[in-house]
Amino acid sequence: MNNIIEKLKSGKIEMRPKWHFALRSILLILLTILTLILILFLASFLLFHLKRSGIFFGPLPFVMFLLMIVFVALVEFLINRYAVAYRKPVVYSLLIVVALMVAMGLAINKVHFHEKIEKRNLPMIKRFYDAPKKDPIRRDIEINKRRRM
Amino acid sequence: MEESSDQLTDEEIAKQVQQGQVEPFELLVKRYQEKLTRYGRKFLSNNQDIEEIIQEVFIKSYVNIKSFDLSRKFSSWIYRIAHNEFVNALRKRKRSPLYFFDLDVFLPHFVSKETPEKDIEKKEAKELINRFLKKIDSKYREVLVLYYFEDLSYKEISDILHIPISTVGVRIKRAKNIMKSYCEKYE
Repeated sequence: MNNIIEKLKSGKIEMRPKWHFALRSILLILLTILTLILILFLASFLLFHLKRSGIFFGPLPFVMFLLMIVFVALVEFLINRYAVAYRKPVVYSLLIVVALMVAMGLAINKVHFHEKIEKRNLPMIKRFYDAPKKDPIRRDIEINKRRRM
Repeated sequence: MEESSDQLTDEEIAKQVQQGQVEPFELLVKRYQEKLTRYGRKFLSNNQDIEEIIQEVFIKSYVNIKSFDLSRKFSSWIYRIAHNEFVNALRKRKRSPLYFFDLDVFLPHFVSKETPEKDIEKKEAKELINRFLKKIDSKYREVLVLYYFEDLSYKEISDILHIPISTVGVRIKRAKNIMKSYCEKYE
């Protein structure tokens, strides 16, 4: 063990500066916030899709739902680095994330956030918003309805 | 000088090291070298391996000392580093299982509050642990060692292993039951 002290005294091993850890913490917080924003966007879009197409199952919502699960797992992984989260069972933080997701998803739809984005006709996400109208399951339902009429 | 520095808490010494003094770190090495060696012996049998890992633990703790939050316990912080190093060493050597998903950590437990044990109960438990420790799953082994041999609280163990406090309690309780069943089986 004397080896270690000698190495430290010789200056061969240096401490990492405080800014290194501060930067890492900031990046971690930013990544957590960004992931939460993505989750909220996906949750609110799923609700928007449901309202628009009347169906929950389809290729796009399925992929978005899977993505949402991945992001929720990532958020859990990130917040469980903090004592306030890991000292309690995972199910508690998971319930908080899910409750936040549902409440904020509904609130975002209440203020017609997605309708406002859709009206802007942004080229990158236009196809994304057209998807509920072109959903193959919805199309089949519409065709069947027309046939019955 | 020696006497006054001996009276300093780990956190006060860590503060001096954070301010750039190297000498006080020697005190931390002296205080934790034996404890960490004893902790390591519960996982690995090769003394040379243990010594190498502990050297690595001290180097990592020095390099990262500025990330240590002075309002928390230094012992939990250094044991956390040691835990990570020993787990990595075990994985390299034994290919021990990885617990990506563990229901113990996921669900709440209501029957696992920390209750003070009498000295005689602790002594009996220690004897059982010494006899059957190698037979026990690593997830139980670690909480037993930290609780009975290192005298850490549930909260401190939770901070070292990054698992819920109630999970620490439930693992200790289950581990004791497992050891009792071994005891009945082999006697």
